[in-house]
Amino acid sequence: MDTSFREAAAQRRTQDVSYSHLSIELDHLYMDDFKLGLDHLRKRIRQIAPWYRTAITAFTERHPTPRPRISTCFLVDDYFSDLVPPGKLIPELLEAARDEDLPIDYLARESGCDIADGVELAALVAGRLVSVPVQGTNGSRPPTAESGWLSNGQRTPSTPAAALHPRPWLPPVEAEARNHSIFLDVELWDEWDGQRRWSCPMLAAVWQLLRLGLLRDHGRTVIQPRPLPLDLPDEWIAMPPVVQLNPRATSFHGYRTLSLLDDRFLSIEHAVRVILNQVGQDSEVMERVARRAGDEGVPVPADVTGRIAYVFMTDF
Amino acid sequence: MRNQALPDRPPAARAAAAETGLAVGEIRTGLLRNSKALPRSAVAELLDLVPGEPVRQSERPIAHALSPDVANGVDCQLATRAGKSMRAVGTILTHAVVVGGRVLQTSSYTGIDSSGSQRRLSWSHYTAQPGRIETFASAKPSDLADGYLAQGQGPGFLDLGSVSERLARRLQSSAVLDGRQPLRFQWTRLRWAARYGPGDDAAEPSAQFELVDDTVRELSLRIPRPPVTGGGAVNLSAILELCRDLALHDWVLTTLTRRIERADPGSNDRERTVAELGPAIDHLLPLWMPGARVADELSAVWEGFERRPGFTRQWEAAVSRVRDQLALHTLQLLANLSSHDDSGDTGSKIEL
Repeated sequence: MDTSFREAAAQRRTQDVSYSHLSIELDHLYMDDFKLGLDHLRKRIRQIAPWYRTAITAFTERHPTPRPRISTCFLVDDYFSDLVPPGKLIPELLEAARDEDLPIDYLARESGCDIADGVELAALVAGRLVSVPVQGTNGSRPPTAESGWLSNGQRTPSTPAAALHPRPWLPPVEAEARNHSIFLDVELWDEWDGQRRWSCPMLAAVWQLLRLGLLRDHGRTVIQPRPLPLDLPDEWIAMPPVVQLNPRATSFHGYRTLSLLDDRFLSIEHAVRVILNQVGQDSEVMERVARRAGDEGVPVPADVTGRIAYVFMTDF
Repeated sequence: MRNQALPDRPPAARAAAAETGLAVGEIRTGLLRNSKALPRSAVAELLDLVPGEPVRQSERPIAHALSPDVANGVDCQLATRAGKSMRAVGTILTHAVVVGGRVLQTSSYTGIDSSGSQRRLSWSHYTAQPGRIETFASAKPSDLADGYLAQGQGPGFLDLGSVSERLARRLQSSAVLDGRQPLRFQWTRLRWAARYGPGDDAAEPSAQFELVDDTVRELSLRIPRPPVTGGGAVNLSAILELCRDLALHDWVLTTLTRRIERADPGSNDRERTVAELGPAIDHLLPLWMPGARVADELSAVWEGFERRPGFTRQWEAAVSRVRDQLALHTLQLLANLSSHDDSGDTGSKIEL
């Protein structure tokens, strides 16, 4: 006799999502940029368009496939200010993009990187951080953590201000320094009106992981793009976290991401990489993504930061 | 030393990785600081260690809950058999298990890739696959397994025990628990090393379990054909489950036999003996289910240990002693009662 017994609560099922070959982010604008009006928006989009076309050529030449799947997305910063309502911003953005022949497939709001459909994504990523160890870390001591901060190495040891014999200053150390350190200490959050307010690099790290399709909540996918609401709400929080503007677009998630950004985001993306390097990934999701991408002839680097590319645009 | 060669097993359904893999770990086992068995929902709250990851709970054949893994980074020395050492970098994982709502186990472990990475790579390389460390120089897995078990707690070497201990302390101070220790016991530490997959010295599966001292145990496993996951990878969770199951039953057996020694059944103070044994009956007797959660491919290890030294044999002998004491105590009470009856005293009550 063949018997079988299972208990659902003892299992963890991992949901699969579909992937484009590449997810391209088309610039990132602060609310202040939108306040400058339609002409400013057009100017920004004109600036992106040639880089977008170049990026597509570069990627498809590098990774030739019969049918390249590339989706584009645009992230609206509504987390730190909510000045221009969706009903005004979205039509203007779409008009400017159409004029420059720049397709925007998906539109996301940054507050969705904090909480999306009730799932606290930023907290979920923060809970998976594995601080980079300096040489000699063997587990015997707890990791030195400063609440709300994450560095890429070891901080300068603190000396009590009133110490009679203060120790000489010791430099901070970058754990992966090549000869010399570039030490970076990233603020992950602060408190604002008694609420945790996530930093821009932390939300941008979540944004990259969302686009790479690597986040799961209890094994379930956390982002399901939805169509643009017929009546645009007055507040961004009432919008879906990710809206699909182009019904024929390939998947929001990509095996790789490329972000076309203004060079004012250089330091933020440095911080994003410091965070992403230290996010312990879901091994099962990582394995599946690597296998699927390999089967499709577009193998991905084993590590997450290797899958993330940038073009930093300077106004020249 | 208890040495047990295990019988050969039929080939696994899928071919596992061709090379020999190595995993090492350390498990702490003890009782939750709670006067009664902790209910299922409270266990889930206690073990909710990682946001977005489930606590995996099952009810058959005994309540069992497994926390998600917490990762930590290390860059330290690993010992080899020859007493030398080599640098290794990567991540280790730690989880906690509650069995029967009573026993807490914290278990830290890592796989070791000893093909020799030559240098430290970007940290994102290590966080892409948590639970693996890589040695700079290449080494034979058998050398590293022996080195890990032999090296003890040398300074600078990989210290999985401290990580397990910190998690145990943290959980024991949780507000979910009432803080009352149900009976006196000692924590045990099981250090283990498992080599799996064929490899050059593949022979029969074998396992050595050693009681090093009162609280320290060592387990060395060699599993030529390990269980595999649906994707064909070696199912390390099944090996971890086996190690935890052995650690759990060794702890239950150790704690019960010590309890019996403490209760001193040879003395004439049967009242005290029974009072000593009471908590053991409540907290330890329901826990004995050797191998119940162990994968078929690994059940030979339990079967081997059941033949020699015979864990269950010793357990049944211990449980019989407890029951004999209770029976004798009951008989004595009944005898006292009947002698009271003879003397016409009708007001006495039996209090067990």
